[in-house]
Amino acid sequence: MKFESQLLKGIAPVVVLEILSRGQMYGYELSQAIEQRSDEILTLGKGTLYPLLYNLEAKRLVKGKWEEAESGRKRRYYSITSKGKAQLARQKEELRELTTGLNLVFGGALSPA
Amino acid sequence: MYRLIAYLGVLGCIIIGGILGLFVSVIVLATLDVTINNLHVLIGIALGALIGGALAVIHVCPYIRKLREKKLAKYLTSIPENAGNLIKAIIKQMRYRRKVRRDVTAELIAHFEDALRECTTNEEKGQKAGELIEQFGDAKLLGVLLRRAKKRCRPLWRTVVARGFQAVGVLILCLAVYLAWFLTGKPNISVDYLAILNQMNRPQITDEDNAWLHYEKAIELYVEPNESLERMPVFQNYREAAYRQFDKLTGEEQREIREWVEQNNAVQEKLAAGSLKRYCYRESRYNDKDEEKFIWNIILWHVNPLSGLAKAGIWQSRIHTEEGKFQQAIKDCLTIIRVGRHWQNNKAFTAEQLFGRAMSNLGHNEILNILTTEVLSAAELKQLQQELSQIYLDGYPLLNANGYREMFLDVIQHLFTEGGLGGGHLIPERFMRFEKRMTTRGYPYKFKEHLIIPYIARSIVHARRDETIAKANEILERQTKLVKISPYEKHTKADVASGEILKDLSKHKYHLLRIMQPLPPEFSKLAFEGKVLHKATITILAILRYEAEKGNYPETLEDIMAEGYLNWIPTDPYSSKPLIYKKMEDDFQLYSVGLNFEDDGGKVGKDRKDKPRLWADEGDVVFWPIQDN
Repeated sequence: MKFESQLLKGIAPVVVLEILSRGQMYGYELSQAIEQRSDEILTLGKGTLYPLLYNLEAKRLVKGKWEEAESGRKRRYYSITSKGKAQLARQKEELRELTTGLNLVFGGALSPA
Repeated sequence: MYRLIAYLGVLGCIIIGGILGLFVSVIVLATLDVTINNLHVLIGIALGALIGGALAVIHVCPYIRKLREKKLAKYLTSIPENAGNLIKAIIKQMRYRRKVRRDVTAELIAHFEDALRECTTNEEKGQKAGELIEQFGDAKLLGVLLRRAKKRCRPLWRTVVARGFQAVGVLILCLAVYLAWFLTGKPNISVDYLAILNQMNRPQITDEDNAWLHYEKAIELYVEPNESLERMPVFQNYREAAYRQFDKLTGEEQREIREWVEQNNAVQEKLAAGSLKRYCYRESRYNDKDEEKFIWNIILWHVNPLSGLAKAGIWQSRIHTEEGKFQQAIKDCLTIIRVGRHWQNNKAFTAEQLFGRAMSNLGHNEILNILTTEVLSAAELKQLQQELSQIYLDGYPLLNANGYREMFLDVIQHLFTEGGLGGGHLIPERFMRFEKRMTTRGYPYKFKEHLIIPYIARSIVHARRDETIAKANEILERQTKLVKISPYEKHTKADVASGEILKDLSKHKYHLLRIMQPLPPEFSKLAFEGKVLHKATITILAILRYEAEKGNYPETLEDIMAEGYLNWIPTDPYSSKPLIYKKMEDDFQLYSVGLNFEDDGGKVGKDRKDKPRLWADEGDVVFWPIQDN
């Protein structure tokens, strides 16, 4: 569990950037999207989500703004910035290389069946 | 709005506290019978304001908190209570800007609203909220993480401003602590410098040889002039030529002066007896009324009556001259010179040395006046010359700065703390008290009691104890050498320009040294002027004796030396050459080139009112013939 948590902590920013690269989202929507798209394998703790979003915002990788949602309520929408996109591309490449390396180590046992 | 009201409330409490502090401090100080000054009152106001402010904050803070919670509760109505409590706990832990907290609150509420949107019953909502709360984890930790993340989000200018305010706050705090420490500094009076001064001044003689016992008695017996006499112009300006001859005064003037002189006859005898003693030693004591034993507070009470006695002596000499008792008249003058010499030898107080020189000059000038009007025989002149020479047998004393150093060190120990950085610092309250005293003593500095802050600031920037002492020692060492250098040497050698030492001192860093003026150059100049007057008087006596015996005046000063009337030639301190002697048809002229260092051909210097003045800025200093100076 600890190992999983550490792994998730490392890749969480890439995951958030990847999800936001497909369109702007507010906090709850983003946490739902991560769970759905990862088939509920990746679950980002809510206590991690908002500090993570604010940190990404501080690094100018995402930006947040208050907008009215379809329901008429105000929500804070986060969208990826150009800097965020460049960072995402770089990290995706690194992740790809890491996966390749890990597959080689585990003799292809990590590849999806 | 509620915030503004709260701030105004705190401000009001601070003002009221300050006013109450003012009243309380004044009442307490008055009850304790302590001198009330600005510093005390300021501390009272500050304490009052501090207490008032603290009380206001204690009472206003819970009120603000309650209002804040009330306002937050309005937003939390859309989510279950347990979720609301979590948000409250997170926001409380955040402790960050109001706007940011509001944003985060809104975002977290929105999160719960979205998560609970599909729940239909309150029970379901509560259960779902419980699950979410678990997912959020520790509220305290989350609050901290959110604060850190939000802090990183703020723009650079805001970070700079925030850090700037923090730095200013820290600085103000440090300054307040420093000021509290600085203002409450106390001196450590550990050395009795007066005892050292007395020891320094005390000669190895018996009481029988001490003139002070006679002078003290004379002062006791001294009868002061009555008001009518004191108001008389002739009495006030007794040095002026117009009043020198007693028989030229009006009958009323003569009567009043004679009466006063007769009242002091016994006093003059005491004075004359004292003047013949080898030494004058007066033990200085602190003023009985002073709580603080401080040399600076010592009043040289004996100087005024002694001046009065000298004045009585001069009038007595004039009366004797009018009565044809020339020998007696000259004796009166010699007494005054001898008394002056006693105080000139005093090592303790510069003021006493200057007073002694003034008395000596008075006696010399009166002898010259007598020589102008009366013709003395060669034998009488010889005797007078011998007696006058013997008064300053060990040489005419120049200024002695030994006592000043001890006096200054006493000022330092009363005005500075002892120990710590730089050996101690100037204590503002003591410094103010000292400067006030200086002002009342006629020093050219205006004490401004209401300017307490500048005095504190000046104390802070003033050199520390060790540095001040080192600088004072440096100045005194230099000036001790300078007092032995004649005005001419100072004038011609740029490297010994004495006046520059004090002028070059930093105005604020060495303020104390500047106001205390250790041995101003004018003082040493006065000593040289006294010395040349003494030498010139003896030379004039020798010239007159030469004329009395040979029937004509000498061609040069060397002639009187060659004939044994004098064994030295007087040096002019303003040219470093011999005084200028000119033989005239039936008289002679003896003069110094004077303060302008130029020979004006014996032209007498004049003051602003165009009256002849011996030591005028322009012209020559003519010792003979006597001018109307």
